[in-house]
Amino acid sequence: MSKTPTFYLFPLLSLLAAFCLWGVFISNGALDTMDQNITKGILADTSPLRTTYTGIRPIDAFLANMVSFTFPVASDKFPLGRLFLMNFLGELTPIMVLFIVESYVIENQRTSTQLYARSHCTQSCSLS
Amino acid sequence: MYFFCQLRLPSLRTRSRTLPASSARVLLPSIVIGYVFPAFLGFYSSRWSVSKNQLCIGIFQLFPVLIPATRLVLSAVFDTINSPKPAVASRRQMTHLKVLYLGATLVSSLTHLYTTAGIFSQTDLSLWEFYVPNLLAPSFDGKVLAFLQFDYIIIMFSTLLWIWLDSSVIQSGISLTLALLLGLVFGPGTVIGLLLTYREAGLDKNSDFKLDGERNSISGSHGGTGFKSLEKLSKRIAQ
Repeated sequence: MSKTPTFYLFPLLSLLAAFCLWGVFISNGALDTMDQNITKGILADTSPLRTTYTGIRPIDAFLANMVSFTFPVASDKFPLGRLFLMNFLGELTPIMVLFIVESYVIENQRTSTQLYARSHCTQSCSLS
Repeated sequence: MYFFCQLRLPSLRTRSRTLPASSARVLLPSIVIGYVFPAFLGFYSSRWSVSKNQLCIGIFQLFPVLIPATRLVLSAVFDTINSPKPAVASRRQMTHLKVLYLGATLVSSLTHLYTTAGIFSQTDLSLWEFYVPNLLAPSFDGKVLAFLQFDYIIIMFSTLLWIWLDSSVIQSGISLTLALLLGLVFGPGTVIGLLLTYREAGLDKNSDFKLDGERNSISGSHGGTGFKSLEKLSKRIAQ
């Protein structure tokens, strides 16, 4: 079966994303800084890092990591980062909607979109 | 990972597309409650203590769980009050999806306009710094910003390319110049939202076509993101 150009294009873009995001983040030492901050229990601006959110340890550890990453750019001490994050989250909304809608489409049940939201339905209707 | 998932989206050849009616009608409020509101709170809470601010940012991180959880609760409540009748829901469902995509597009364009105004209102900020990642950023917050900027560029580029290669968009004759202009003013997210609304209408209209030879072959595989779609796109750019 012949493969279309997009069969290779989008996975290549995924690889490019992995390199530009994690490759750069690791090579410029940001990941190490973040790990050190979490170990010390501080944020990048040396404020104390909150480590309790739900009381469930694995979830709290995950959230502390995420907050350690997000807090510096969401902070009003860094207006450029704050505005960028705001714009990013806003512009991401239509893409997220696409993913959510497709994850609920019953015909996608055998596809990876279902990883996002697997739900059982009692009422259904067809678009056709 | 996200775009890997996109490779499996249904094509226009899909014979039927079924979405639970009880889900379709509550998706917009679920996204507002589970995503838009926590995101707003994450920013607004910077006026409060550092600890409360972190709590709000932490809650926002749970949006992939908050949206389906809200959806389940709202579906249960709405279904109890007014159970959807399939025959009626089939027609209404399309309206729900259009409103959902247009609502998301509105969120995207408003935040883009707000943040662009924010950049122009501050003399020490520039559009260059806003969009171009600084690989030599010395501070941790600058490095996180570079991470997010790369993320933004690749997500927007890939999604725009993916939706532009969709056969329904290619066949529609939507002007590339118009799309670029809209993208410059309202942001790429807005263009994506509008094209997705258009695509959704196309999927609805064509969900039954299966033996229409020519159109079927154009749509190719994976939503028309095939070689013929690329050929058609290059012809349009050449024109």
